[in-house]
Parts: sequence; C-alpha cells; structure tokens
Amino acid sequence: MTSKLKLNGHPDRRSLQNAVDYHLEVTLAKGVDNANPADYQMALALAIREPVIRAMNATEARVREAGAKQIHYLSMEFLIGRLLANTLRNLGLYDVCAEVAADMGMSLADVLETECDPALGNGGLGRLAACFLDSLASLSYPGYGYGINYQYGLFRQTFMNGFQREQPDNWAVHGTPWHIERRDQSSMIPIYGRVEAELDIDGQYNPHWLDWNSLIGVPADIPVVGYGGRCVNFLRLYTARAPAEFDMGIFNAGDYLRAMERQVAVETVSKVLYPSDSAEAGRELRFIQEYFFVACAMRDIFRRHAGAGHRLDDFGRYNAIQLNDTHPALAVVELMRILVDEHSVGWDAAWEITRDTTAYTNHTLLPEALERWPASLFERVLPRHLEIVYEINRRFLGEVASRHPGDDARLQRMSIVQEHPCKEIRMAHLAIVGSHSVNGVAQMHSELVKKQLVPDFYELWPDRFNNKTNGVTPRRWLLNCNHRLATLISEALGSGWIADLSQLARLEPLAADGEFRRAFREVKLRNKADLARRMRAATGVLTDPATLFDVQIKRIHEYKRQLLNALHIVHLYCRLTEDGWALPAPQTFIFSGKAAPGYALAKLVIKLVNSIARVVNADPRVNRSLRVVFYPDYKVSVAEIIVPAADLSEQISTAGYEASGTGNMKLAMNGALTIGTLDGANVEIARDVGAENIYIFGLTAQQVIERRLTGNAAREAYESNPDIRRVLARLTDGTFCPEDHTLFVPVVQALLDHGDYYMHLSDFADYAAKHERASRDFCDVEKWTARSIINVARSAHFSSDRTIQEYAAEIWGLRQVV
Amino acid sequence: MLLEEISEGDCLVVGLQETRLDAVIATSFRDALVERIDQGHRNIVLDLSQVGFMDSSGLGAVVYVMKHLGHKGRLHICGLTPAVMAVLKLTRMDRVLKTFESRQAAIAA
Amino acid sequence: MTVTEPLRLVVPATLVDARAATEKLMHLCDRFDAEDRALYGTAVMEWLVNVVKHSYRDAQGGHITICAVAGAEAIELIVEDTGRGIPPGKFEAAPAEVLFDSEDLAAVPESGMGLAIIKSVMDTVRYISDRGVNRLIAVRRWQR
Repeated sequence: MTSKLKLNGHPDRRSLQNAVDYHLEVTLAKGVDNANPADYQMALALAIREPVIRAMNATEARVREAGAKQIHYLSMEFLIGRLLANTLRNLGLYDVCAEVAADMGMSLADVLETECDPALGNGGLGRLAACFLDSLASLSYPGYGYGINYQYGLFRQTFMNGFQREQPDNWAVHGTPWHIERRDQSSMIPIYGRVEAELDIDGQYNPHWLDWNSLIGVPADIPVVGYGGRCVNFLRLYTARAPAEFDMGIFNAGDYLRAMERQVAVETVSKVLYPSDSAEAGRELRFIQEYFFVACAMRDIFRRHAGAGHRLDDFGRYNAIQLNDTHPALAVVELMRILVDEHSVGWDAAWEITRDTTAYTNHTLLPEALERWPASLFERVLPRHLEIVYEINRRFLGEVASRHPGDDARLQRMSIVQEHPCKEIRMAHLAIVGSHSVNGVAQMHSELVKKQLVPDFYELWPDRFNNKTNGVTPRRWLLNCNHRLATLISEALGSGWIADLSQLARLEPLAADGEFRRAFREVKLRNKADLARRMRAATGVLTDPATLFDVQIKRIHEYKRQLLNALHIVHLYCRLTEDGWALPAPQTFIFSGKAAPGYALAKLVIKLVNSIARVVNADPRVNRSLRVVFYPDYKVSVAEIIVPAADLSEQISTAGYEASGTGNMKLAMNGALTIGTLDGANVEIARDVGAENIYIFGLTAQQVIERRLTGNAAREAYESNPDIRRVLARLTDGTFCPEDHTLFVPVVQALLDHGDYYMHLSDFADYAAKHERASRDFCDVEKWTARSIINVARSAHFSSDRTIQEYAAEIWGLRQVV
Repeated sequence: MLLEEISEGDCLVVGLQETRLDAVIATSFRDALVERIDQGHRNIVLDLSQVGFMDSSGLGAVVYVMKHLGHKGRLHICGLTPAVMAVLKLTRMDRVLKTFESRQAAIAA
Repeated sequence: MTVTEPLRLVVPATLVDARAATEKLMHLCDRFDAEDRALYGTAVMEWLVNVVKHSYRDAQGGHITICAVAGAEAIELIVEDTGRGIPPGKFEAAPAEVLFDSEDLAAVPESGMGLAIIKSVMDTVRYISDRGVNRLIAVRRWQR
C-alpha cells in the first residue's frame, strides 16, 4: 500500500501513520517495534517526500504552462541545513507529525535531531543562497538553484586540547531521502583539449575545439518547499562522473583499468567543498569545479528552454541568471560559447542575450578576495573559453577607449585581463562586463562597491549598479528554530506575519504590555535553558540561563574580530580578579565558528578562546559572573539553537569589511540586542531599530581608513590605555597558556608590531564601554525585554522575502506563478 | 563507376550500373553527369533500377546535378527501388526530385 | 531469437572500407524488412563517411573500430575513431530531421544531411568524446 498522502488541507493522522508504517516496514525493512528515532526520521521523510515530489512536478507544469520567466541562481554553495523540520512547518504538518510520533512513543524533536546537517557551504554566502530559495518558493516565483553535490562538505570541527581539528564531513554516508537523482538529465561537459582555428566556407573564423575530455554531470534535485506547500521549486546539484560509455572498452581488457582510473580522476571534481580563504582555493580543481557546475547549469537551462518550445532569441526573455559572487562568472563565457559555437548565433546577438540574462552579486570589498585565475590555467583547461574571454575583453576595451581616448592607465585598470605581474583573468571584471546588473548586499556595501571597489566601472555604467540588502527567511529563522516565539507572536497577531514579515510591526505596542513582556521573557528563558543543556552536552560546561547570553557565531576571521571579543573577556577577567569590580549582570559568552584549515591566526584565536574558557570557567572568583563556551562544529543546525537563545549579538567587524552579514538579522529577529560597528547591514538595522535599542561603537569605515594612515594607531592605543596593556600582558604571561608562554605571541604581534590592521586596539575602549552599559541595562529586566521586543518588531525589512521581491522586480523581471 | 547511356529523342537516358550510389562513387557520378550537361544535354532521365543503396553523398550528387541543369533542363528519375525510395522519403527529397514509375514514363514526360 | 555473437571490425578509414563495413553490418540485420534494412545501412554509412571525411579529414592511416550486437530486441552499434571528432555540442545541436524549403531550388541541401539521417533512423544515439577517442553508440529496435 503506497502513501496516499495529500498535501493540501490537512492530511489526517491515519494516512500519515500508514505512510510512515509502510516505509518503515517495506522501504527500510524495520519492524515498528525495532525502529529507532533515525529510522523513524527516514520513514517520515520518505512519507512526506512523495506528495512533495508531486507538488514539485505540478509546480513545474504550472510554470511551463504560464510560459513564465525563470530565475536560475548559480552558487558554489548552498547551506540548506536540515530539511525535514522546515518542510513539515512549511507544509503545516508539524503538529500532526508530532502526534503520530507520540503514538509511536517518540518525540518528534528527538527524531528530527537525527537528520544529517550537511555543511555544504562555508558561511554567509551559502546560507544566503538557501534563504533565497526558500523565499522564491514561498513567494511562488519560478526560481531554481544550481550547484555542486559535494560528497564531503566543510570539515567537521572538533577540539583537541583547545585547538581546532578538522575531520571529513562525509554527510551522505547515511543516505538522504531528499536527493532525487535525475540520470536522464545528465549533461556532458567538455574540458581540456585545444582549439584549432579554421576559416569556414564563408571565410568566417571557425574554431574547432579538439581532443577534449568529457565530464558527465549527473543532477540530483532537492525539493524546495515554499511556505504553504503549494509552490515547490528545486535545487539541482551536480555530481561529476566519468562517461559510462567509456567504462568498458570495445576490445581491450586493459581499457577497463584505464576506465577506472579515469573514473577516479573525474569524480574528484564534486568530491570536496573548498574551505574559503584556503590556498588550495587557487588551484586547478577549484577552477574545474566552478566550470563544471556552470557548464552543467547552462546545458540544463538551454534544454529546459528548448523543451518549453521557446526560440533561442527569446532566451533572455524567459531566463534570468544570478551569479552569487564571482564563482559562477564563467557562465558569461559559457553562455557565449554555447550560443556562438553550438548554435551559430552571431557574436553581437549572443552578447546581447548574455548581458540581458546575467546579473552579478558582489559579496566582498576585500580586493584580495576577488578571484583571479591565471591565463595559463585557462589555456590548459578551457582553451576555447580563453579565446572568448579575450574577444569579450577586446570589444570591451574598445568601448572604454572610445570614451576615454588615450587613457591607457584606465584600460589597464579595467581590463578583464591583468598583464602584470602575471597574466590573470579578473573574474569580477568579467562578471560586471557580462551582466546588466551589479549589486552589493547592503546599502553601505553597495556604495563602497561603486566608490571604492570598481569606480571605473561605475563611471562607465552607473545604471548597472544597485543595492539589494540581504535578508533571512523568517520560516527557518523564526517559525522553525524559535517555535516558542513564533507561537507567541501568532497568538498576538495571527499568523500572517510568516508570509509577510512587515506585520511584525504590530508587535511594537506590545512592548509596553507587561504581560506580553513576561511571556516574551519566558520564551527567551526556555530557549536559553535548552541551549544550556546542549552546551553542557557538547562541551561539559555548565551555564546559567539567567545570565546574559552573549553570542558571536560566524566564521573565524580577523575582520570579524573574534579576537576583540576575546580581549574584552580577558579585560573583564582582569577587572574581576584584580580591581575588585563586579559585573552588573553575569554573562555567558558563546562562540561558534570554524577557521579555514590554512588560516593560522584564526586557528590561534580559537585556541585563545578555548584557553580563556578553561581558565575562567574553573576560577571560583569569576565563574559565577563569567562563563565562556566555544560550541563546536558550527553549522546551520547549531545556529538554529543558539540564535533563539541570544540576549546580545556580537556584530563587531572592522567597519568597511563586512559586506552585509546575515547573522545580525537572524539574531535581531529573535530578540537579541546588537552590539556592533557601523558595518554592513548593521547600519540599516541600527536605523530601523533605533539608536536606543542597539549598541553601536567603534570607528566608522571612513575613520578606519584615516586612522590607518596615521601609521601608529595601535601603538597609540596601547600606550594610552592601561587596560589594553594589562590584557596583552596576560596573553603572554602564561595566564591562559601555562604550558607555553609564547603560544599567543603571534596574536600580540599582529596587534602591536604588525600594525593591528583590523583596528582591534583602536576600538577596544569604546567596545568595552558599550559592553559595560549593556551589562548594566540587562539588569533592568523590563526595559531590556521591551527593547528586545522592539528589535523583533522592527526587523521586518530583513526578511529575504523583501530582498527577493526587490531582485524579482528590479533585476529579474519575474512574475509570480500561483 | 559505370554508366549506360542511350539517346531517346532529345533525352539522354543514363542508367547507373552500380548497386550502390554512395560516397565512394558520388563524386565521379556527379562529374560525369555534369560533363554531359555541359555538352548540351538538357533532358536527362536517370535510371536507378540497379541501385539498391543510396546515402546522402549519392543523394547530394543527384541534387547537384538537378541544380546544374537549373530551369533550362529537366532531370527525371526512374527505377527507384524501395530502398532508395525510403531514403528519398526520409530526407523529403521525394518532393523535390521528379520520380517516375517506369523508364517510358520518365522519357515521355 | 537469441543474441548473436558481436561483430567486431577494425577497418582503415577510407570510403571503400566504409562501404564494405556497412555491407557486413547490413548482413546482421535480417530482422528488418527491406526498407528498414536499407535505411539502417544508409545511417551507418553516413556516420562512417563522416568519420573518414571530417574526423580523419581524408588523411591516410586512420582506423575505425566497430562493434555491433544483434540482440533480441534491437541492434546495438558502437563506432570508435581517434580522429579530431566533432566539437562539443555540435552533435546534439544538429537537427534530427532534414528540413528545407522545397520551393526554393537553390536552398535544397546537397550535404550536411548525415546527422539528421542518423538521428531519424536510430532510436537512441549518443556521441561522446574523451581523451582523443570518439565514440558513437546507436541503438535501433527491430520493431518500432
């Protein structure tokens, strides 16, 4: 008996129960009596999967019938997190599933915990892509994600002696029901080889790409269920395989071995996600990964376009492509190649289609983070693409030269091809030249992109540049992860806010309602109690939910300044143990995040935090006021338990470095107050929640630049501030590293001798002062709760629904298909 | 490549004495007919009754010949075996080439 | 009807050998009626000629490897060459039918029909190139 589960309306308990039983017994061959929570999770996922797939097919049919324009979101990373809970909530099936689970003697929450959370991304970029997919589906836009089906995600982080240890994250080992393999929609991707130039009959240049190798991209679809369950889009992820046609040679047994070798070599392409900031990121395999998924995506988009019966010239009318950072920038070239080489479209017509279709999102201001690939790499791996890049550049520079005759310096600055010190292709320039829209991800960031990052391009094409402030999905980041708060809000406002976050504004008057405040506080306390339990289980550290939970959860990087946070904690420790001072409100500092394996300083910061934690948590003089926890293996599922439990959110990047941030939005949306710099989206959050409901400190981006020019900002801060001197002394006197006093010397050196590039010392005093104020404010429980409620009420702008609506209207030209 | 040529009034009847009109002989076949046309023959009947196999090279040669005649001449084809007819149908050349049931019919037209 | 022994041939890449190979393959096709057999032979000849003329560019010394299996339901064919091959995407992009305006004499094609013929005659056909080896895999069922 197969599942007859229907999605619309509410399937009854009986049919759900039957479906689950069926899968337990038949699909998983487990009896109802010997099923453990993991089995149950799998059976439940399989039961839900059927109606989801049907809805997915129905959605596709509706889109095709409507002849609607589609958006294809290309990203190297999609941090989708666990799927079952979110899917159940979006389908409105959570409660009935909880009942069914209870009937079987299990807690649904425990069952959901057993689901794997694959770390298929490094951080914000990947999670943004996932939030966008959720919003696209929830708003009924035809929107599809394209990426790589990594076998190994970002490493699993454990701590050994306080140091980060990396272990492989082989997540699919237990199988996942959410991947629907689509072998019949495989793509054949050419790579390597050489180009032979020829003139054809009409005297036209006819490039012949020869001796190429073949990669086969096999897609697996992950359904993306929109809120309400009607619209189900998909995320298509590609695995690299060797061509099966070559597995068996025609004659020779020796061919089989060669075929096996070939298979092994090919399959490394989709094996591993590269940690960002890693040296390996500059390597050939990463380059091939970028090409591989772009080529698979383009093939697929063309196939679907043709399959819908559309003409080639209408490609730009029916398709929009968004480049999430420069990693998919090869799409510009591949699109041209397919049009010109395979479909014999003229260059100008092809270029118009390409520009019409493609749009680029910039995520970083760090010039060293802008991708550049050596021309020699292109030559070897993608010879035909290199020719196309040169031609694009030739025409582009021609356009620039005609506007600015004689300005060779400008040509050199703007060229897609950098000549010195070595010949490299500037992928950001390629993306800008090939797109009709270039956007930053927060107002301040978008301004800096125009003024600081690529001013020449802004001067040339001012209309292309725009801003699309990031957002987060209120389904995962409020409804799902903070169900207590979501229920409280729905009781007060109805549930319209879930699909229309602007309704949260109606929460604001309730900040004045003592009863509501009490209930709100109760929710936060329960969330914190849950987190405390988890922290105990994961780290052994005991924490008190009544203390102020201060959280900094993000990738470990110098510009994010976990170090500043750590220095401040050392400062508090010193004040408590040496100055006879007392913290107004006891605090628990919670860190979580991974450092790229090759990033020595970041890994040292992790060790520092763990060392501080070890000392502080064990010291009876302070450990009733101060606790430090580093929650291991940060990923989406970890964020989902920390975010709802936060009181104070650390968003303390050096101003001018964080493009937007999204953790800041999630935390504010869940009632945490922010302590942060005027960086990225903090600026807009501060503007929305009001200066009295946020703690802003530190140098502005402009001031950072000015300060740096003085050349001795760090020394000046050190010499004028005894607190800083004391803190740095503690780092090197063995207080936190008795086994090796020199352990943290590199940290101190970075701050003192190497100029403190990220301005930790310059911001220290103001940071400490604001923290003290926050600690005092926390004692006024009612006032703090009111401000917390206001943060929630005023966070509506940061819904990814708003972001997607802006993209859809201003960049993609999409309409909803209901 | 062997051709049997007979004059019938103002027609030149060319019978291809090969079992296969394919890439191997397509060029020499084409050149031979072009030569005849350049010598002044305007009405050509092509008898393919010996031909049991044709590929696109052979077909292309026939089309070339037809174009070379242009509007000033006529090319009528007869003796089409089912095999050859199948290829003409597949390529829709049966709508373009003038085909006849018998040599007499081809000559008469 | 049982599966016969696979037919394996390695032939020099010349037009005459292409013809001979095609004839041998047609012998395997007794399960077709006369017309289908002719069409099948034509399709095979198209591909082999294509390999000789375009992949090897009529040069001396090239070889074509052929393997065909007359199975219970269908005939399966693999043709392999080590010439320059067809550029990426061209095989897939080629139309599956010969299309032209029959009113316009000048526009009637004389060449380029080969891939369309193969795609029409075969039930499934895939072309794949990897590391200098080009392979065509074509399947045609006895009964359509």
